[in-house]
Amino acid sequence: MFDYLANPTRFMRLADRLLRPLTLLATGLLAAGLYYGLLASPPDYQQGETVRIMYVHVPAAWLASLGYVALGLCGLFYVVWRHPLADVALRAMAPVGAMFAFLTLVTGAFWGKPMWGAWWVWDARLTSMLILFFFYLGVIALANGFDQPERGSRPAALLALVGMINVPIVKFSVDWWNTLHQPASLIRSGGVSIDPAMLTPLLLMLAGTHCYFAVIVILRMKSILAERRIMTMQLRRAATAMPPDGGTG
Amino acid sequence: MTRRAMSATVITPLGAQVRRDIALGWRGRGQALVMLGFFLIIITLFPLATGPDEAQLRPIAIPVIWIAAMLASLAGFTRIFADDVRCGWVDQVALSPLPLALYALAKAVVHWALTALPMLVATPLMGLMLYLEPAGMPALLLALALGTMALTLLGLIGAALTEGARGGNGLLAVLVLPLAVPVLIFGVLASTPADGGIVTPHLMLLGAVLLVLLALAPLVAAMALAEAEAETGA
Repeated sequence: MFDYLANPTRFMRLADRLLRPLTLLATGLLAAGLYYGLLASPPDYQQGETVRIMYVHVPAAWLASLGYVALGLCGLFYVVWRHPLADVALRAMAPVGAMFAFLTLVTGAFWGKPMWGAWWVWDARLTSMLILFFFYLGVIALANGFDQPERGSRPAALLALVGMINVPIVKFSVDWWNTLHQPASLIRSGGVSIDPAMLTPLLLMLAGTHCYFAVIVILRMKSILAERRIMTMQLRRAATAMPPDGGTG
Repeated sequence: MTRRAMSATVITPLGAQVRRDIALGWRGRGQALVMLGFFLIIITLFPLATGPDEAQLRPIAIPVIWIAAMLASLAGFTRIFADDVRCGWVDQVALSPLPLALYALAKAVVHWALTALPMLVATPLMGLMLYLEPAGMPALLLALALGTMALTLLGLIGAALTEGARGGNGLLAVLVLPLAVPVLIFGVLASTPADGGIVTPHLMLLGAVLLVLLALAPLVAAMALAEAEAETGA
C-alpha cells in the first residue's frame, strides 16, 4: 500500500477523494463528542463540572503521543526505505503533533488549577509531555534549519527516529525521577475505571480528533507537495528564461 | 575477515584517525580550556545567585555541577565535525575503508578525552567549594565520567544532524538537551553514594543509557554525515 502511495500524483488523488468524507466524519464525531461531553454527560462526583476538560485533554494527549510515534515511523520509512512521501508526511505531522502537545499542556493547566490548586506541577506525566513538546520543536527546527529547503528532510527523519527510540527511555527516566522525588500530594487524574456515561463522549472525542488529525495532515501534505511543485516550476521558468549570454539581472 | 585484512582496513586507519584527532585537538587545546572556563563560571554563578549560605548550596551542589557540565559540553559540540566537513576530510573517510561510524566513534572518544576530562579533574575542587563532602567525590566522579561520555555521544548525533544548518549552537542545544534528560536524571541520582557503595541501580541505569548510545550514536552520526558529505561534495 505504501508503495502504491509513493507516487505523489496518486497520493494527491487518493487524498482528494478521502478529504470530504474524513472532514464530514471528523465534524460529526467532534460535534457529537462535544455535545455529549459538555452537555449530556454527568459531572464527576468528585471534580464536578471541571471533569469536562478531560474530553479535550485526553484526546490531545493521546494524539500528541501517537503523533510522535507516527513521526518516528515516517523517519523510519524515509531513512530505511527511502519512501518519497515520508518526509512530506513528517513535515506535515510535526507541527500538528506539537500543537496537540501544547494543547495538552494548556488544558492540563486549566484542569490542574481547580483540581490541585496549581497551574503546573512537576509530576511525571506533565513533565514527560513537556519534554515531548521539546522533541517536536527540535524536529520542526531541524527540518527547517537549512538554507536548502529539502536538505533538512533526512536529518529531521533521523532525529524523529532517534526520538522515537528515546521517548520511552525519557518517559521511564521521568517516572523514575518522579517516584523518587515524591511530591507532597499524590496526584491522580481521571481515574482507572470510568463511568459508561463518560466513556461514550470520550471515545467520540478520541475518534473525532483522530479524523481531524488525518484531515489536517492530508491538507498539509497536499500544500507541501503543491509548494514543491510551484518551486520546481519557478526554477524551470527561471532557467529557460535566461538567454545564453547571461540574464537581465 | 582475516586479522591482517581487518588490521589493514579498520584498525590501522582507526589508529591513524585517533592520532590525527589527538594531534589536532592538542593544537586547539585552547578551545577545551575555554570550555573548562565556561564550566567553572557557570558553577560560580550559582552561589552568586543564591547567596553564600551553605545550607542553600549543598543541596543543589550536585545538580549544579551536572548542569554546568552539560551546558559547557554543549558549547563544544558544533566543532566536532565542522572542520573535517569543511576541509573535505569527511569525504576522504567516506571513500576510505574506515567505516564512517567508526570515524564518528573515534571523534567522540577524542572529544571526550580533550573536553570532559578537564572538567572531571576540576570537579572535586568545585564540589568542595559547594560544600560537598569529600567522601562523596568518587561516586560523583564516576557518575560524571559515564554521564559526560553519554553526553558526548549525544553531541555526536546533534553535531552530525546539524552539520550545515543555520542556528548553530542554539539548534544543537534544542536537539540534544531533551535527549539528555535521562542522562541528567540518572546521573544526578547516581552521584550520591548509597549504602551499597558507589555502584547503585541509578549508576547501572546510567550505564545502560550509555551503552544504548554507544550502539546508536555512531550509526546515526554516520548516516547524517553521509548526507552532509554528499551535500558539500555536490
